Amino acid sequence: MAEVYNWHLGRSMAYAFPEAHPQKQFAAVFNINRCIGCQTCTGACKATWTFSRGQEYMWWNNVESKPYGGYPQHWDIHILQRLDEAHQAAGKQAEWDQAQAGESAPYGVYQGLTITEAAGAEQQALGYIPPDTEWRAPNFYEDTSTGYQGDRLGISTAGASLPEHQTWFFYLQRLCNHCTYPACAAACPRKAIYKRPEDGIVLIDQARCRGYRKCVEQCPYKKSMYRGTTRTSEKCVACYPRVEGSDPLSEGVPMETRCMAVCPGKIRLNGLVDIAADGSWAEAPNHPLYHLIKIEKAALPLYPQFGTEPNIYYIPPRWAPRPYLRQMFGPGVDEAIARYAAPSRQLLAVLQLFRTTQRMIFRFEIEEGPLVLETEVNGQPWQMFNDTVIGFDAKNREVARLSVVEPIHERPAERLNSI
Amino acid sequence: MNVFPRDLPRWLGLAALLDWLLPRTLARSAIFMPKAPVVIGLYEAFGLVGQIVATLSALLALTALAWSAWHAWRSAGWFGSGLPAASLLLLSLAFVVVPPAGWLAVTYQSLLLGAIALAGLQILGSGLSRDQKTAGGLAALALALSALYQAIPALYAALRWPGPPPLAAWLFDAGELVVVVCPAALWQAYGRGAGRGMWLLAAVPALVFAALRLANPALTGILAIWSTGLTLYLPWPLYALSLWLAGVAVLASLRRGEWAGWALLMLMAGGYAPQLSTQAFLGLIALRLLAAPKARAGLPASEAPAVYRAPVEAAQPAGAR
Amino acid sequence: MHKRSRWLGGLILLGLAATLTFFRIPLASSQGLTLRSAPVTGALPVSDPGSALWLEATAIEVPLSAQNVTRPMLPDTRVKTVTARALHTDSQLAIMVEWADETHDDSMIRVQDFRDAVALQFPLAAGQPFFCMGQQGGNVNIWHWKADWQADIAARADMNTLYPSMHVDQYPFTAAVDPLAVAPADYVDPNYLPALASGNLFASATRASPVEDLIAGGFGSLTAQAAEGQNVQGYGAWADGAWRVIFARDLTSSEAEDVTFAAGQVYSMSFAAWDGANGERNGQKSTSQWVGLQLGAQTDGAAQPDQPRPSQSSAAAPSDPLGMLYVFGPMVLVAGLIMALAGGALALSALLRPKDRP
Repeated sequence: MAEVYNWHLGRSMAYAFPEAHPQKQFAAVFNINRCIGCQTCTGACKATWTFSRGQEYMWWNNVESKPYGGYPQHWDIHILQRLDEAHQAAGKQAEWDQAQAGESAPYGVYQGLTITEAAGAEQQALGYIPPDTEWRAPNFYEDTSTGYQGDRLGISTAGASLPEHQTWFFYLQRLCNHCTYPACAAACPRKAIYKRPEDGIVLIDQARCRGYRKCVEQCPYKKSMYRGTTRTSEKCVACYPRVEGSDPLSEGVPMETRCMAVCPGKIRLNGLVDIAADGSWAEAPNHPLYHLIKIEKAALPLYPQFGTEPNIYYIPPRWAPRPYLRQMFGPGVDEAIARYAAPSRQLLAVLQLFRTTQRMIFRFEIEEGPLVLETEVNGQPWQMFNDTVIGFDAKNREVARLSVVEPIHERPAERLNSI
Repeated sequence: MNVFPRDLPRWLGLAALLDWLLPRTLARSAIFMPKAPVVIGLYEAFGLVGQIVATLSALLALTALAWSAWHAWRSAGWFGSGLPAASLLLLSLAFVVVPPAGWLAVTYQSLLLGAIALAGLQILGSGLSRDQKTAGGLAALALALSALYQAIPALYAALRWPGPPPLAAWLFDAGELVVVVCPAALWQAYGRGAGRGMWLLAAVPALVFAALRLANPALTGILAIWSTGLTLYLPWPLYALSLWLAGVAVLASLRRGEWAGWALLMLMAGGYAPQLSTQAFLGLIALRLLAAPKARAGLPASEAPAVYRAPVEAAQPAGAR
Repeated sequence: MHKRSRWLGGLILLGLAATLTFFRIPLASSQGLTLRSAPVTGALPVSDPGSALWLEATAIEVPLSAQNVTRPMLPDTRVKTVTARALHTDSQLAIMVEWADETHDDSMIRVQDFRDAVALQFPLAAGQPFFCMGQQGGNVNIWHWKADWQADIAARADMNTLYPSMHVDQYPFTAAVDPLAVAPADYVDPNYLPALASGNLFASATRASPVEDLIAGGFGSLTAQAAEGQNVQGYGAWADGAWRVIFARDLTSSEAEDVTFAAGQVYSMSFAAWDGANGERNGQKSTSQWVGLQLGAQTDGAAQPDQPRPSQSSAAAPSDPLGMLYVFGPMVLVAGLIMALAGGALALSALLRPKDRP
């Protein structure tokens, strides 16, 4: 195994292949706070990619209700349990040292084992194959909240009080993370899985795949799926014709994937970020994803402790219990929620860019506007300005222009009820 | 005349050692190496040198076998061990052209078995010390078991019995056990009195083996099978100990200028249950050397130990020598 | 001996060795564990593991061990030994491999299903490359029999084989009327079966043989030969806790990626087996070392397909004149050779050692 640097963990870790990084990386930010669980993304993906024979059970994109839901069922609990057993066997703790946080270790340093480090001598990564029964009900436990503590009338007065709801669930939107260090690619004994140098998209070569299901076994996010009809495994392709700009609609510039572009809740922002030769993100403060993830640190990777450096980032739900969120998104949760609850002028402006155009936004500008609101958030004074954010596509053309305060048009009184 | 020309065992021993270590051990480890162009180039060079060394070793082994057959005939006449040795030699050469099949293969295997048995009997019936007889006898037993393991399937094939032949795995394992035990006897016979330096020097390969085994059991297992034919089915420290004792015996024997040292090297280089005829011949030649372990280079024939007469004395006509 | 003459002798030896190496003149012959193919005439029993003709061939038992060199590996693979037999005619070779397997795994539809399989491997160049998948510069030809492919020949399994109660409204881009009966062949646009569209034999709509013909040159390099180069036939049947699988191919092949066979020659081959019920697939398998494969010459009493199986006692003492010749011929040959050697040695000794004689 080689040593590779994983900035999510703030340290080097063991991985099957030495470091080699793409020029750009497919990435996205999902704002969990805004998701309404409508599954439009799920349906769009299904209708685009997985409607054929043998793909009946496949949902490359899915939205599950946490903490109980999961597709396949309890995928994260299964892998966390195995990881925990490995820690116990090694006498280690899966802890983070936040004191060591810095430029190349934004969340501190992970002291525990990753799935590649806990793999043992016989495998590339810790994993398991979920049987067909666990893939069958993709939205099982939908909208199921944690136990409800009601009063005599069955009403909980504190159930929905912040900062942490007593009774809670949230939607987790999932697709392939197109990881920087994909466990599926490490697991494949045939090297049939590759990461594209131009955009970091991870694909299974359908000509070379022999259906061994090592990727199904070792992808911790369970986003490689076996297709009995062709006896090969398939996975999310990140709508690569759209990302390449080869879709006729895209006019030659990279376009968001289907699941991102259809989102009615405007929770998704998809793009390509520049990657430096050493694998770090090239500094680009005016790139909306760079801004959200690296500058504001409002969006966090999903289960960073798995060690694959996933590239879908989440703005954590501000009402959920913090220990659960820290397990899921790492130690950056508290800061991310604080920043999201009382956003800076720039963050508030960038948050407007979600789902404004099908084209990927590569750069934004902010035109400052007047102060419109002064209030208190969590006991701290907070000001809101009606700034305007402008998004530019790969060809530096303006593709989006929004103000923080949504423009309001008031109907004249005489037409109040007219259609 | 001498059992062997004075330089032949040394040359053969060196060539066999190189043949063993270069093409059959080092070059094969290429599979475990990163495939950088420099490494590939290096291994290709190894491969070429290894091929030449292998041919040289085969050539010398055939020469030595021919010499030994001639010598046996000179000393024991028609019914001595020269007959199987000479037939083996010619058959093995014939097999280069005519494939070894059916009864021809059985003949060859039986001859090999017979030659090993005769050589073993010669050792036991010689005027050697008891320790030397034990060591040589054990070596012959290991070779005989391995030859039997290979001969039985040939017999089944010749008889066209459906098989599969029984006892194959048992024979193989028993032979390997003898191989592992043998170095203790060899040390008893040839290694005692070795200085501390020799013990330390001989520990090097054993330590390398132990370190490799601890670091990567699978790799060590594969290389051991390739290189020696041993499957390492017994506890590995036994193999390390054997390697160490064998090393001490080799060094002590070579220091005294005896042939036994070269014989031990040939036994190791020939390997267990070898795939090639010339490797099997190395074992045979080693047994001949062990029957005359002290034969020094340049000794007049009359001073060489008269070991060859012993077991067949009764059968040979007077004055045949 | 003089130092100079010793050097000279060494140089001559080295030169001789280099010459022999250069012209690839072997001095050693192979004598390891060898599977000896029995020559027969007529048609080979390529799809009849129970044929009496198989008893013409001498079986060898080949020990297998878990692949433990590269990841992934499985230390406790279940197939510990296979028994192999081989028959050949003037034009064809058939090898039957038998092994015990309590479970009959021939489905690859569900995500947790793995197949039973067995493979033969032949080096393409002279010598023996690494016995697992060959190595760089040492390609191997692999014949891989798959239990699910065998089952597919009778009826290609698909989702509704495993899920008989499933319902589908429609599979777009197919020509079939009944969606449940949709097979890969029904796809108007194969791009919706990307593995099929990219030529992956696993996704093939139809199967002519349960054996895949492959080439490999090291771990991770296994590659199926082109569809038109798939020329290994096979048949496998499971009964009473054991698989019996037959591989058959013409002795010769015009393809560079295929091993070719000639009577009499000794080839190297090795075996690998997988127990699907144990999750065995890819490198998680049992493998053998190299063993020899030798095709007996047609002249040594080829058995007739219609001939009853000779009992062991009668086989032990061949009664036909050809058989007797075969037994005594080599002995006569050996005796002759010994005489020649003795004469040569006598002459040589007379030349070399005249003075030693009293």
